[in-house]
Amino acid sequence: MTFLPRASELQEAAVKKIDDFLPRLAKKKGTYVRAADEAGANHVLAMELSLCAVRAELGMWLKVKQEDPDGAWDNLITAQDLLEAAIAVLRQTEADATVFENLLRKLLFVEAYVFPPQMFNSIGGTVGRRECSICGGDYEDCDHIRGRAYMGRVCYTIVHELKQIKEISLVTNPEDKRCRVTHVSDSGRTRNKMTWRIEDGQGATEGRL
Amino acid sequence: MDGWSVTEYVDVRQQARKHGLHLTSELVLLPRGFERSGIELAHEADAATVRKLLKVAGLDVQQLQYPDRRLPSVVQRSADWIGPTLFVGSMLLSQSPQVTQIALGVISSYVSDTLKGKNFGGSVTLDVVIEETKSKTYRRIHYEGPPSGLKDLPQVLRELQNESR
Repeated sequence: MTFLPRASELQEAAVKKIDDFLPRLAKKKGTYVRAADEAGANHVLAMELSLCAVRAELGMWLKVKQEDPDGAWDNLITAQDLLEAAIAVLRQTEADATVFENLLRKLLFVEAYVFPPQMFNSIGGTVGRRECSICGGDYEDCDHIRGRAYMGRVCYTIVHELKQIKEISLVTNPEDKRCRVTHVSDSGRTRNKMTWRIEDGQGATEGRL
Repeated sequence: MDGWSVTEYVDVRQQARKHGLHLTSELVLLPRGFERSGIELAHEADAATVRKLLKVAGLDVQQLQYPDRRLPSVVQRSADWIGPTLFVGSMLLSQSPQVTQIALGVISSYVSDTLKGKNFGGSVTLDVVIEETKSKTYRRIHYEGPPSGLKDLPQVLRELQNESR
């Protein structure tokens, strides 16, 4: 179903099927967590992440057909991020991640050949405290490692106390490809960088950080 | 070997004192801006992660902090990986050279795993500062390139040690 020409109603049905299946996976993960089976819980997590990636890819093709390229882009990047996380979890459990790596390659090709080239933004600064998503404690003090899976959950940090923003840069390889220049100034008019339409209602240069 | 460059570095022990920091280990994670004065120091985003990984590997590693407060952390929204500067004291280099090799192996493996999922093209920046007792000099080995190039660092270190003998 993850091809542009597939019928939209079938792609929407596939999205619904995934939505209906995810609670069953969550329940299964819960049984592994209760049994303190970390490997089992992490395997289910990888399945959840990959299914959500497929859902996001379907969402991308649906948005393309609805002439919503910005929404399609966001779905594409979500799908890439979820596959990256799934690959990391599989590598941690020493399982074969080749299928997901190939899927990610496909999505990178889609980014390069379906969408026009984008300009990305990046923020540089300092933060005072980062909270660990697993234990809720200060990331400096706990034993969890960012990017690793623990009992079916991925560890990430939540930034608190933003101390200083030192720079906002244009970069080619950003952490988050959703942070991009959405409009540019063109002979005094405002052009949408995705559709190439003139949209004078927008600001001269707009972006998302 | 591509991607590597070696330059002189400040006297780490003296510079630490100037910043009001105390070295308690022979394997230390230095903050960004350490070699300069009058600049706000901040640890690289993954300094704490590297410290935890090295501890798990059984290494005695110190992440430099002020005695009364914690240094802030850098946030940089780039997919490339910028590691903390790793200082290796002369005693550790001469008495337990394998420790540096273990540390670099741990970092290399983490970075490879982290960047593998990313976009297959992420780059790594890592600095290692070594202390040479005989010549009382400090040298910085700077690497910038793909994660696979990190495996050459132990050989670069060996060559530098042989040179200084």
